[in-house]
Amino acid sequence: MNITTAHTLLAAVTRLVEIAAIYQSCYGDSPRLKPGSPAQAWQLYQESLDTQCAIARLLEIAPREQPNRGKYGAWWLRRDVIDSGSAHALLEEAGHLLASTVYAQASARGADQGYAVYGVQANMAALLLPASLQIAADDSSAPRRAG
Amino acid sequence: MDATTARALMNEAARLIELVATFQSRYGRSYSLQLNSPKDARALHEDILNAQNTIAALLDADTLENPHHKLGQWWQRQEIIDLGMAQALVNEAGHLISCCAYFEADPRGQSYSYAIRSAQSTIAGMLHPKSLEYALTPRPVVARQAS
Repeated sequence: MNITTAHTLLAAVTRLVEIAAIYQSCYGDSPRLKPGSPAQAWQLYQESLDTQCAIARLLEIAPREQPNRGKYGAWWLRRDVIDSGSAHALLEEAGHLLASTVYAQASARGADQGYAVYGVQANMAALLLPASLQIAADDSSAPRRAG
Repeated sequence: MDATTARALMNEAARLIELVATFQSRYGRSYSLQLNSPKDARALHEDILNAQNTIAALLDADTLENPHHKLGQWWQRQEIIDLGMAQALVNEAGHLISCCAYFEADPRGQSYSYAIRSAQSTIAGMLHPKSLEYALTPRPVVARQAS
């Protein structure tokens, strides 16, 4: 994890916060999508999934594979699109990740901060839809084409 | 205030976290600037103040006049904003984005949101009073001369 990646992560999480708020504003009374749901609801669902995949890809492999499931509830058991509360929790973690990464790189005792950076990423992974972690894992394990 | 301005505010808040984390890792949390302080400390201090000025300038004027000190007044205890407060500012910026996105997508088409106003007042309450003063001071517009 480096400062640039942490900034990119924060920007992606900010987008997710926005998507969650728009979905909640328009379709807050429909936590589950159905075949007859409006096209915009499906579009927001797809965008939220894509954003979560982008976030998952930016996390390091080790914390992504071991999400800290104890800290947050599994929002996907109750709804299809992430709720504002969970998106905000993710934003809080992303801010913490940025601070920890900067601190680790600027401090002479950088190595001690490594665990903080790892722990925050594991918390973030726990807030992402498991399918997005799977997609990110598949992407990183796919054999790269030569040339 | 709209979602685009709120996003710009979030970018600046992320920059503030980076600057504060760098300062705090090098000089500690309660560092007091002296005449013989290193140039780097002075430069970081200046950048931290400028980032707060930029954030203040993005807020609506009426909220600058009514800051809400939800988390106390850090400037009474220390010279430079600490990392905890900078992270709280990012969280509040996330809340502001959420409120703006929700409000802009609101199918009921309301024309005013108290949530947006109160989120801005809370952000104003976390900034150094000099930054609020800076944002409220009218600056002359430099007119370009026609060539």
